[in-house]
Amino acid sequence: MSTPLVEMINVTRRFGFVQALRGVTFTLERGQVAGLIGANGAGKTTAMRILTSLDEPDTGTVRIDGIDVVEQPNLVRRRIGWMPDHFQPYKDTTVGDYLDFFARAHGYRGAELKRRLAEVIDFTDLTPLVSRPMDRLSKGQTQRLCLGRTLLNDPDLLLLDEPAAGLDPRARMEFKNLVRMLRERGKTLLISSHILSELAEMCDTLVFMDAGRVVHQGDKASLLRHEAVGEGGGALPAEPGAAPKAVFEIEVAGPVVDLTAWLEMRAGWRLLETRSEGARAEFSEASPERVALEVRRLANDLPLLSFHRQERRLEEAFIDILRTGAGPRLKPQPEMRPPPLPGGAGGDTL
Amino acid sequence: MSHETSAKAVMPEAVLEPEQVDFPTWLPPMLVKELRQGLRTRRFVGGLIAVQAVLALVFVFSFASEAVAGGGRTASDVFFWIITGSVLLVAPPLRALGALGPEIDQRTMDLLLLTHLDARRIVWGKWASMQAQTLLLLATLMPYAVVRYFFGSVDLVNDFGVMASMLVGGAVLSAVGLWASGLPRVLRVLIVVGMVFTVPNFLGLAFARSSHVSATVGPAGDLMLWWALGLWSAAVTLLYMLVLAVRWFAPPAENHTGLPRLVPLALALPALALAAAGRMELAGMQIVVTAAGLVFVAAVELVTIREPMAIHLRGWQARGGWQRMAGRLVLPGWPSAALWLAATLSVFGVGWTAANAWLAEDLKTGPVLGCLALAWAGLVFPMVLVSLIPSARKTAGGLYFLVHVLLGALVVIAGNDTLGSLAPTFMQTLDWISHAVPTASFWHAVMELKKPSALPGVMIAQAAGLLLTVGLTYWLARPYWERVRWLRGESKRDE
Repeated sequence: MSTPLVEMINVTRRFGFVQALRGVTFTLERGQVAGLIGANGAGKTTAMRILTSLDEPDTGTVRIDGIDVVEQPNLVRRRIGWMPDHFQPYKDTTVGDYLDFFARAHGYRGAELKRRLAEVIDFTDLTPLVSRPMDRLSKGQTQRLCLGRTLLNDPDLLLLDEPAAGLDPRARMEFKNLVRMLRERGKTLLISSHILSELAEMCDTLVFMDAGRVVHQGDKASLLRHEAVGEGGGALPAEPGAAPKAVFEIEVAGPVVDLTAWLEMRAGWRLLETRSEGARAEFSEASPERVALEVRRLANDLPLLSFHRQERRLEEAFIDILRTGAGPRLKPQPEMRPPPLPGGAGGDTL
Repeated sequence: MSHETSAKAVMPEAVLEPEQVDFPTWLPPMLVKELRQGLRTRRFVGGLIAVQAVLALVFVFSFASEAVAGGGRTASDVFFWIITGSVLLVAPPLRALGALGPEIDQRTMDLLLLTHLDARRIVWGKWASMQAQTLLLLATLMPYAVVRYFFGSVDLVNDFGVMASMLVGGAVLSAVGLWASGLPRVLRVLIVVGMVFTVPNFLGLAFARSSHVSATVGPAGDLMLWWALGLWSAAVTLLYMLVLAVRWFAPPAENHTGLPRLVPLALALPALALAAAGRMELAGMQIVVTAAGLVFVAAVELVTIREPMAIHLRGWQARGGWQRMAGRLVLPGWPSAALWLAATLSVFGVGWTAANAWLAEDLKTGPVLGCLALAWAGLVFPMVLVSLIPSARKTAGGLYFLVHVLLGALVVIAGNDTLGSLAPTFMQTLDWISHAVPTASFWHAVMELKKPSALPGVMIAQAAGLLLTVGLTYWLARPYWERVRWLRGESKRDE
């Protein structure tokens, strides 16, 4: 089995009194498109900055393509493309000058420089904007420019921090297309966002963070099945052997109050929402046999009009994970640590 | 949006063509970027126009006055030198003060660091761009310098000498500004205030160059020697400031401790050559310059809070023997800085003793060696105190400076004769204590090189203070060296 492209093992990071990361562990395989999801302040940007080698972990190991990012940052930096959440345009600089500078800074010269610039400008559709000053671009154009800069060195791994934040629907769609094309070219992408639905469609795997921890890693289906990630990244059911939960929309011909009373009496049901002709409810043991049995009983007891299994909303599943604490809270792995120095760790000058 | 994934795209190349002919491709990318940005700023364009407009008006007015009533030359001279001084000495350092800090704060520096550019190239690119812009502005002043010649009584050689010294001064001050741009805002303001006092002095020095210096140093050869010494010291200072600026944002895995600890020692090289040539006065002056530089370097190295990493040791690990030992002198962290300072001062001590024996002159070897030992204790002791406060990492520099100020004040108070007559016993006790406390005892030792103290047991007190510093340093640095040993094991394992 090949080495994962990204390995983040037991990483902690503290800023003053704030513990930004608490033993974050996840891995990414080559060619994967992964989403890093969490509320603001969950630790997504810190984790990504550590992956880029622009910040250092207090403890833990981070490797890109088997290279330790703390010990050999320069080797790592040539393999990655980083698109930060906050982009400050240079003053008095055109789009063409900006890309030209970064292409030169990546070591391109002469014909190779022109070819690379042409490819990137074409890919991100920046041709009409080449002579425009950077600070006169729209948000969507700025993001495309930022992505263009990120692609200049043809990196294996792209780290995009909140790339779709503030984009209008059209720009968002264009951005999704760009991600699709990058996936087709075999790039590995880690995209952070706090909007789950935005990432779910384009990602192979989702890494959920909350309060500096990874609380879930898996694909969209695993999230809906309410699975939790185990040590080493493998997915395990939250309660082994237990049937998955499911949400149903039920409509009855009679009074809704009868339906709600029925749901409250029956074991395994939880009422989520009452509607004019029915209700939305969650059933905790939703195996096909049990669901069939419940439908028969309901039809016997009440004038049942319809009974639909509802696709569970991703946000609900995520909130459920946070609420029930089903996240793994990974056990700290034994680590070789250097003798402590008085005053703690850090790297400040003066 | 174009979704063509073909590798060949014709249109963008054509669009980019005119953008790429402004600078040649062999120029460093950082320099090109800074020049492109810098030459387009309102500050540069506005400054250029303002300088031309003011000088043109003043010169026309001066010509007219000179023709009508005479004396117009003075006004044009004053304006010319004020503007030249501002362009060469004031504007570049002020620009440099805002060069790195905002880029680090706004994280635009991050994007640069993820290219093939390293911290060193970024700093050098910024500095070189500032100098290029200054030279460009200076070139626009040249016609006025030549026009002044037609007024008469202008020594062109002298004028160009003054301009050259201003240019060098501006280059050094820009490097200082570049380093200072990473400091907190309050300190940057203090540095600007410092520059307000320094720059006029420098201007005065530059103007006095030909008259005063030639009068004091005698023959023309000596004048050249003064120039050479000045240029050498300026070059070392400039290089040191730039390598120090690199540390603001270089990744911790890169050890940028070696050069800042080695480069300033180059200040002492002319002193050796001058001593060998028997020019003891000039050698002494250069030793004073070296000592001042070393105090600054030692203070910066001691308060720079960084930790050694296994990768820092790996290069030295492979060498073994003396070189491995030497590797300990250039590790990040104050214990290594204390060791480096001890080694450096020891080399100075050995050099002084050898010079004493060789030159057969009384160079007061004993007191000087004592001073060197007390200098080590004086510089290290405040950091020893600061390191006792675990939460003082962020403010180590400020606290270190505060301890120096307090101990310096102790020396001043203890040596005050007026207070001594008011409370003789108390003041004598205070004097004795100030001799025992490291740092304060160093200043006493320096002052007492010419006139030894009349206090009894001064040497015992000084020795006690020195031993206290050595003991505390050893005790507090033990975890650091344990960590280094552990990391050495790690680096061996990695190999």
